[in-house]
Amino acid sequence: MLNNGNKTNCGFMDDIVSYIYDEIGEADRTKFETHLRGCHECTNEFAGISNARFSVYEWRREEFTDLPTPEIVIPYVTKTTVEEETSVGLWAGLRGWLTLVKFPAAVAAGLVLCLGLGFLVLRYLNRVEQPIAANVKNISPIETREVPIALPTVNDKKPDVALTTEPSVKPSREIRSVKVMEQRRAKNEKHLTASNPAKRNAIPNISNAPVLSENIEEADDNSLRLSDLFADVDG
Amino acid sequence: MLINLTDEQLVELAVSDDSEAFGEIVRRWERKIFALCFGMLGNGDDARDACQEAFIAAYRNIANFRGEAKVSSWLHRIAVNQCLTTKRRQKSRAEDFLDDEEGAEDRAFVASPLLSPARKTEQAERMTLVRQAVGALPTDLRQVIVMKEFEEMTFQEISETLELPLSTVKSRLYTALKQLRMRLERTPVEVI
Repeated sequence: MLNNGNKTNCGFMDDIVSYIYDEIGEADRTKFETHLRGCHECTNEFAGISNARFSVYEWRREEFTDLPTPEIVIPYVTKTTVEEETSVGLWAGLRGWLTLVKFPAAVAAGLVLCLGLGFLVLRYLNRVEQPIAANVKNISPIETREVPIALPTVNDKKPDVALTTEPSVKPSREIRSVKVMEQRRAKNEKHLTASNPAKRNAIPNISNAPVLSENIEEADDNSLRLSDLFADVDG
Repeated sequence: MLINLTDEQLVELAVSDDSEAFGEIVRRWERKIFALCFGMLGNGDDARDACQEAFIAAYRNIANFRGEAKVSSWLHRIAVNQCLTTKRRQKSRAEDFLDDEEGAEDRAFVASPLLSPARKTEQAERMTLVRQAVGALPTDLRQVIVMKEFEEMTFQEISETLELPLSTVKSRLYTALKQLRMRLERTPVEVI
């Protein structure tokens, strides 16, 4: 028999151990015994394995067979003890429950904690961002307009929400009011131009305002000064 | 009454705080588990401790037994784990006490009073060699040979307990015996 580790070319590996421990069917036994008679290698292998098995058998017989089975003492937890433990209070019950469902409880607690923290952070960020956004939206149309703030009161008696400096709670409403404001402003301008040109002219035109000379020191200044007055009095 | 119940039924009762049911499980399996521990560890004292610890561990974890495996498989797994823990402890102890093996030798072997002193010595040496050779086998091979020789289980029972195919059990046993043979042949006992 050629032996390559556990694999045998004869294919009687399983039969060797089955034969040694006498757990082989009658047909297989006859077949194996017939093979052993003709295969010197298998006979040697069988003898070696049997010898090893006998060594273990001998060891058991010499050292184990006469050993008494030890008396097993189990520290039983009686039902009354369990009841006493549970009756300690809510804390003991909670601890017991958490011990039972350790992993799911830990996962659930972690999830709830994460969600709570996330919610708080988002809320905080919203609170910080909302007033800034509202202020920017409120202020920018006022700064860029050419028409004074009092202009909408000519035809519109409704209070102008967009002009208030207080931050609005809902930014969507703010956006809407700014748009409405713009529309009204355009409508008013049109109305003023068409119906009352005098009112239209009443609005100060910034482009026609006098411009200061760049070199104010050198320019002629005929205005009355306090020093001149005192000079006249002294004189 | 409890004698007529299956292992699984006894476990169910034990889970519901029936200590007598667990006592019956212990009675059914203590000899086999002790044999397994002895074969795995190589001496009676350690085997006794490991066996005791294994049953205590089984009792403490009985609520976690879901009935997916057989009770015998579950107990064997616990016992093998306990033996491996004991082995690890022995290893660290052996580093402190170098003469540990000699002590184990004295404890384990009790020669027959009918043998001559020379024969006694020879047999003691041989037992030591076998014990060391079995102890040096990989855990999976050692487990199969111990279940077969010490627990006297059939191939089919080993297969069911370890949840392995029958052919794997036979193959492992063949490999274990082959390795054992090689180790024993490498260090022959001198006949005095």
